[in-house]
Amino acid sequence: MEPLRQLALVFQPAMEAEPLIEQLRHLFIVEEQGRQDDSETFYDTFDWRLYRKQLLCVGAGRSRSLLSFDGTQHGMIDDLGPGRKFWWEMTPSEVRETLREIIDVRALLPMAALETDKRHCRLLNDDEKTVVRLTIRADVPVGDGAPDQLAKVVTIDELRGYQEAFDTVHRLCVAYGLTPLDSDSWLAQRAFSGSPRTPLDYGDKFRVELARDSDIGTAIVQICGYLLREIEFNRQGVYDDVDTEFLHDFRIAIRRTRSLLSLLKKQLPIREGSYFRREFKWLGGVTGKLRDIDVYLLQKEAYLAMLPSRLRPGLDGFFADLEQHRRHELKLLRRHLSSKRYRSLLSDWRTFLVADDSPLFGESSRKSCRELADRTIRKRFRAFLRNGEAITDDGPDSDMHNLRIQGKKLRYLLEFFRSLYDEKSLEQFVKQLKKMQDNLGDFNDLCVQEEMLGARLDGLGGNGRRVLLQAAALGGLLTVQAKKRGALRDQFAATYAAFSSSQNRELLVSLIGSDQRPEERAGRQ
Amino acid sequence: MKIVAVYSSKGGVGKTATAVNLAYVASRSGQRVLLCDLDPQGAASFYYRIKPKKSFNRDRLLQGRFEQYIRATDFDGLDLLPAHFSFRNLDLALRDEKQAKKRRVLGKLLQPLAKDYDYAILDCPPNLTFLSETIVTAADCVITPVIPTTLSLLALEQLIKLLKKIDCDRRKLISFFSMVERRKSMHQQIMEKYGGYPIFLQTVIPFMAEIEKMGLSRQPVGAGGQQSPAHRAYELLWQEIRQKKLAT
Repeated sequence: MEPLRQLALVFQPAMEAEPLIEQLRHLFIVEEQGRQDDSETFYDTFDWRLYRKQLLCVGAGRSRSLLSFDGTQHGMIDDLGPGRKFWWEMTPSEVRETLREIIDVRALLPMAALETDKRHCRLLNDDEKTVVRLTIRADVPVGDGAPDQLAKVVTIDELRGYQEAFDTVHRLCVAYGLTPLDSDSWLAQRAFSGSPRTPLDYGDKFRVELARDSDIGTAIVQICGYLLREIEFNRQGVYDDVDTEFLHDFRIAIRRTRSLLSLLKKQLPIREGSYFRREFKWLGGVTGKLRDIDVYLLQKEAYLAMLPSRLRPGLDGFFADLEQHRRHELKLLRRHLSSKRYRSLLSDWRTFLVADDSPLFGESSRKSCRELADRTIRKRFRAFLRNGEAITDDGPDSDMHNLRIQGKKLRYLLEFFRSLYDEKSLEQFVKQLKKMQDNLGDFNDLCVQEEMLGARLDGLGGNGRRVLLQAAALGGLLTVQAKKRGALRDQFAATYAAFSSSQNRELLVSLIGSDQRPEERAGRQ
Repeated sequence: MKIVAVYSSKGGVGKTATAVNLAYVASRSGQRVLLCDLDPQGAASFYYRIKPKKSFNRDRLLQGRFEQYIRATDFDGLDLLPAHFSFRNLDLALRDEKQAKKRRVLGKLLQPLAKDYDYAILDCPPNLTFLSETIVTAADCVITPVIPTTLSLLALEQLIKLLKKIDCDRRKLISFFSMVERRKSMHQQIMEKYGGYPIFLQTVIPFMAEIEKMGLSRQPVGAGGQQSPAHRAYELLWQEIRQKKLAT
């Protein structure tokens, strides 16, 4: 059947609703159904996962409704206790499953709030049958610096079989001077108009747009400035331990910064370069342990699923210890994040990136970024192939580990400089690289996990039942992991062959050119 | 979508009151319900204050072009296909179709709405004709209100005979005592004698002024206030029907 229409129209700033209602009374019986004073809080994940899907999560009290931008209701979560923000803390329902798919491990956080005053009316025909529903809403955004009050909005809801009445009311509202709003986004626009956050101000993808003729200094400032903002954006969420992804993103921004610092080593002044490399290495280091624990805890269900049910209780102690360990590590990390060392690093880094007398704006940084990018990408690709060719079926695992690091460096480079190249070809190459990285990454994860599980097993003492159970469970996990690792190693050769194919090499040459020097090229012509 | 027909060949047994209130109760429990008023008298439409559009008639119904004539009631999740005076000739219109095809016509007509509604509740006219055959064939469940009187029981017997004649699954038929007045000895005697038969539901709907007054209030009994005893009785009736006949 045809979907029912809903229209939203906005009043002019000084316009009152009463004269409009009076005009409607000439055509309909207007039944006021009372006023509703509400406070609506709009929830989303830190990285706007719902907004990206054109969804709004609106909360009043302990309930949350999931709506499309066009107002379609997808259902409700009732009775969400205070402080609950993850999908697994909600009672099972279809909406919970929808949320689970979208928000995954992220927390739903209050992003904006509106104080709303809604006046609900029914318009009746001569049989006193409702033919149109109408709501007039006045919204006041909550928050510092938010506008006092937004212009009133009327929403008109069509009822099945009463199209004419809907059209009549619509015409009357327009004639009265109301302006139609974009039915797909008005509520979202209104909701976030007073929020300190702007929708999509934090994204899931690294995206820096460099000018094609950008020089090295400007490119470094742009890329590192972007990464610095990511570090600062996530710091509070890490400190408050809101969800695990703050720390994850925080660490990725640090790793990218470190990668850039090392890849462009020669382009940076020696003293500053080595200072920042050392300090960011420290910051990466002090955040590492907590992330490692998070990875294990996030895998809890997967770990349990690997074991037959009788062995599962053996992991209770393992996870309980991890939780305890995590609390300790979090305390340590908080101390680091509040330390003078951290504050100095960030302020020095900011100064380095923006100060007028920064070496980044000196003569040596004026060279073309594109040339540097071509050269560095080519070098990293060659290094990757060199290491890749050397891997044999029975070689040590550390070779795979080194190759993974090479792959990561190459990937970061391609991401930093993606805007300098043909987007489609680059995406295609990155897609191939990603397949290769997935193989290497999964292999490495399994090695690290096996090592940790093995160490844990070695550390078990005594011969009580609990110890025996835990040993059995760890043994079970180690067996499954080793099998998986073997399978990944078997897949390596085929994955590598696909990545290093002549087709893929040519694709990269088409992006960055061949490695002949310009004068050689000229000589040949 | 399950099709629930409220049917009896006898008039005045409370068919419309049953269809109107069950539809309301079902929609209140979160189901999407379409109430089809197939009785040309249009009492169900009247109770919901709905008049058909001018261009609507029997032929539009039979051509299957009736989606646009469905109208929302004042209650969420409850729509109504209004009756039209021309429905009195539905039988004549069906006459030319072949027997077997004719019986399936109603089910086919409702099929396109299957994704829009959980239940179609049919308020049927009191007769025993071709139309009755199409109704019982299409329905997943046929509910027959029976006033505890001999004539009303006779109507139920006729219906059982009809199902047998057209070789229709008799298990889809269910009945309940309607407009029951406990102080009438005949009502008591008949209920005692037949109430134990499996065709009868446990829930009975007493004769209540509140139900009679629907003609004045023009809304289902529950719409005036949830404390209504009549509304509560229909809630119990719907629960029992769902458990016994509509559980999937």
